[in-house]
Amino acid sequence: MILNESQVEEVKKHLKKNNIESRLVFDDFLDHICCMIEQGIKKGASFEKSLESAFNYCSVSEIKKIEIITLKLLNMETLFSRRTALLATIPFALFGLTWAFSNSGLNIPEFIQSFLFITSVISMFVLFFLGWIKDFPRWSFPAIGFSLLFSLFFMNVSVPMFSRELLGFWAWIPLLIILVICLVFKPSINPVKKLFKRIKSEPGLILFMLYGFVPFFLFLCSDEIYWGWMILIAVLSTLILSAGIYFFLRSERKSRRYISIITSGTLALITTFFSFYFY
Amino acid sequence: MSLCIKNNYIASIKKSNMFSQEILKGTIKPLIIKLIKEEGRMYGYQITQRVKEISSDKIVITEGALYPALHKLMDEGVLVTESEWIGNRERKYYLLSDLGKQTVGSKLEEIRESILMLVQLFDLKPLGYDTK
Repeated sequence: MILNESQVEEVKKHLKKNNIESRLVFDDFLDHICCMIEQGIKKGASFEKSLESAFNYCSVSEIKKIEIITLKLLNMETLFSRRTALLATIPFALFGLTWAFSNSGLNIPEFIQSFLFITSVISMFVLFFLGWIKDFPRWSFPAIGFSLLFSLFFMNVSVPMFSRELLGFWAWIPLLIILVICLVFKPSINPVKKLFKRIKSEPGLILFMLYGFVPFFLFLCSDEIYWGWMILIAVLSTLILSAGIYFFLRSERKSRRYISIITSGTLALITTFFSFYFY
Repeated sequence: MSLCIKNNYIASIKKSNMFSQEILKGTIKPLIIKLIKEEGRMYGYQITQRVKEISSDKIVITEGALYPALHKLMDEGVLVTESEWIGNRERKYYLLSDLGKQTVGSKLEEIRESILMLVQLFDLKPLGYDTK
């Protein structure tokens, strides 16, 4: 006896309703529960009764736990500790500080501004490096997006201190140096393979990668704006952006994760551009 | 509340009928490899039933032990999957990869030696057959 389409849909509905989101675990348990139900029907029970006893034996909360354990074992976890989530926001906070001090209109010495800016960039590269060592877990995705877009952006920038010409491919040198350091500490292309595997299983992660560039983008947009209120705007926008990354790494549901970064990204943009209007 | 009691009851039945999961923990991967080697390919539910059948219901591989182990073996490149449609759902069969076929002998030998060593350490006498 094999379950029909509507019966299979009923099992799927139960798993979806209880937030089993990993394709790997979902497919395994769909077949597993269906097998248990078929076994129950074979013994004379009704579909409803077999469905109930299958989910009693193998409860969805237990399946959710198995999903978390499996993803953790495969280094594909979606849910992180508070500590990890907070640590992932450090580069964002540093960009916020740079932005607040550079555009406040206060007389902050230039070397402090430069120091803060370089520290923010380095913190992103450090996050990239740590990500490489750990096979690019989710918390390192903003650093990947930042590193790529930052290099791409600086291709079209000239640094008058060195030359009037555009940096071009020289802009990729910092990232190449980081890659060499990564390869020294972990000489393997496994992290890249894992990265593509993760993106393949959840293409939405590209959005999380792009999210890493948002603090720098807002900082760029505020160029040449020197205004006392900018401190408040920078702090507020940074807090909103950091909250987005925090909730992305702390939410159990996929929908909540994406809502958190879309909402916080949009809110930070609105806050910043609204302040330009007043300026 | 009643569902909670029911679940606890089921969990206690599960626990009382099987060997300690702690003891099984280290042997689950070799056990899966051995079964798949013998059968050619197996799906998750089939593995749990086969183990129950061989051990006369004394060993129950819980889903929480089985699926993480299967995925870890896939990640290590020992197993691969092939899918087949059973009615309206997809069934994933696990089978040995080329690497798995090459290493299966050494992995099973390793577990065999470990068990023999434990038998010696615990001074156990073999059960179920006459040594004479």
